Amino acid sequence: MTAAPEYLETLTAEAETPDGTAFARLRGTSDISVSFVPGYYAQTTEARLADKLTQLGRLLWVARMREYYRLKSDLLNREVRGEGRPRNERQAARREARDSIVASGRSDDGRVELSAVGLLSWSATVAPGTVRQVSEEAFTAACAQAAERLVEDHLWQLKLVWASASTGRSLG
Amino acid sequence: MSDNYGDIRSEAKALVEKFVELEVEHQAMLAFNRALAESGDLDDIHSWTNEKKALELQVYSDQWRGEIASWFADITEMFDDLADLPDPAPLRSEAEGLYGALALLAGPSGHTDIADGTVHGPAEAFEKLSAIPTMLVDWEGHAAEAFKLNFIPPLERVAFHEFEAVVSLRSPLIAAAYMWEKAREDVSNLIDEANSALDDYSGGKDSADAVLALGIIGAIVAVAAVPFTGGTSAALYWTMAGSAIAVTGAVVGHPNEPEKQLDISGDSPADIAQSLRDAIWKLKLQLLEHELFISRQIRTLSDQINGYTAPKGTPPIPRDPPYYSTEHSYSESTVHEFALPRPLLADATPGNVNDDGYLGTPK
Repeated sequence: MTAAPEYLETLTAEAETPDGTAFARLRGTSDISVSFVPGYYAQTTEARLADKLTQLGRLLWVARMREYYRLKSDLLNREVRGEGRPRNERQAARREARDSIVASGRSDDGRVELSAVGLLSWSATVAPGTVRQVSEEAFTAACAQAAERLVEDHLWQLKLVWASASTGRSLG
Repeated sequence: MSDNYGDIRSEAKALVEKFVELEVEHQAMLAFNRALAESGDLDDIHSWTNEKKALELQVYSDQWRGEIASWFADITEMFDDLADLPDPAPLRSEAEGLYGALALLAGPSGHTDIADGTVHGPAEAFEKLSAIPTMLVDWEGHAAEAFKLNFIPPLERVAFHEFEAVVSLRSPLIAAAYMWEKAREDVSNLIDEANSALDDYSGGKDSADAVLALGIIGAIVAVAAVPFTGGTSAALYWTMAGSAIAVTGAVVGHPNEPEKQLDISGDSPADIAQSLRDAIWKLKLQLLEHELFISRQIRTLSDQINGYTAPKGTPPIPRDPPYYSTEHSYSESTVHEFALPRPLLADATPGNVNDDGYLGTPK
């Protein structure tokens, strides 16, 4: 696969839930870490954790987009805010297919399962008993693993979708 | 934008490499999609492990990379042409070298160089000009009359025209320097824009609507309009350029209205490459237009200095020899705008200097 340019490798985005209890940080494309305010993990429930992960996924993606276009504006020395309107129906259809990609990721221990539609709408499941049975470190590591796999899954599907709707030349 | 002109060849090489990498991946995905459609096994391709994905991509790349690379080979050559654009610095120093001439030609009242707004004060050499008729009150004869009537009164005007001529000579030099400076920036920017479009493609985004504005479009504009608008008004330029460069108001050409913005984008790396080719082509055409414009200004100026600007209604006198073709024709009435008539005494010899045609004999 093609190596990303340096500014995308070092791109950093951060997100925080509105109640200030959970945080996520992304570096590059799929290196994600999750953390909580001290004491929160021990007192919460799996349902609440899942809710925090759901929020963090969406917020982190939004933050990444914003950072991507900020870096791009710097690089090109002009303001780039986003994609702009689709230029034709083919582009519009391609974007719709992209935004409908269902990607998922699951941690090795099976405790954290994430899925996202177009990286815009996230959902999370945290296995019952997790808070009691595993440490905060092990849990956040599982989150990072699940998130990384979700992003990789999304990117792979994205490549398929993106190529399928183009009109460029083709061979074998 | 990055100011990286010195590395154009290596940057272009890296860019072409990126085009090839992403197009190989793009083609592989097309092939996988086709295989998917034929087998109808939707889950299969989506559940490939990372190892399987990498392997399949490698197999595809080994087979097709060479052919796909040939699609982009011309881009390296296109940037080769743009890798050694002229250095603006010597042109700037040539323009600065004309400051001395302007200072001398500023005449008894001083003038402003409209090419860059420099104010040149009165020149010392003209200090006594107004006193000359009084100082020479006792000098009589044909030569004296010619000197007092035909030489002294138009001297300031002629010096001013010569001042404007030097200004007009500087303007194309500054324009050329600015043009190459901006052209170099444009070349770097084209590479940046292409890289950016490929990053968008690779990240699953369509390129933004905003497009690259060519710096060279404003290059000559800025030079011509500096004292009046700070170089910001291109529109003004289209009417301004002529007056900045024409010395006696003769009609001069304007550059063609240029393609102001270029769009580097596309649905695939090959599409993006095509828009880059178009952009490079337009940039090159614009460079040619600008150079032609500048050389036309210089010829017009040269014509005017040599009296080849016939006023309306004057029967044209063909130029000889015809070094180059313009619409101008020789005119006796404008030839002395730039050079005063040769003094009669210049042809005098000891034998005829006291003849009536020269100094004359006291009566």
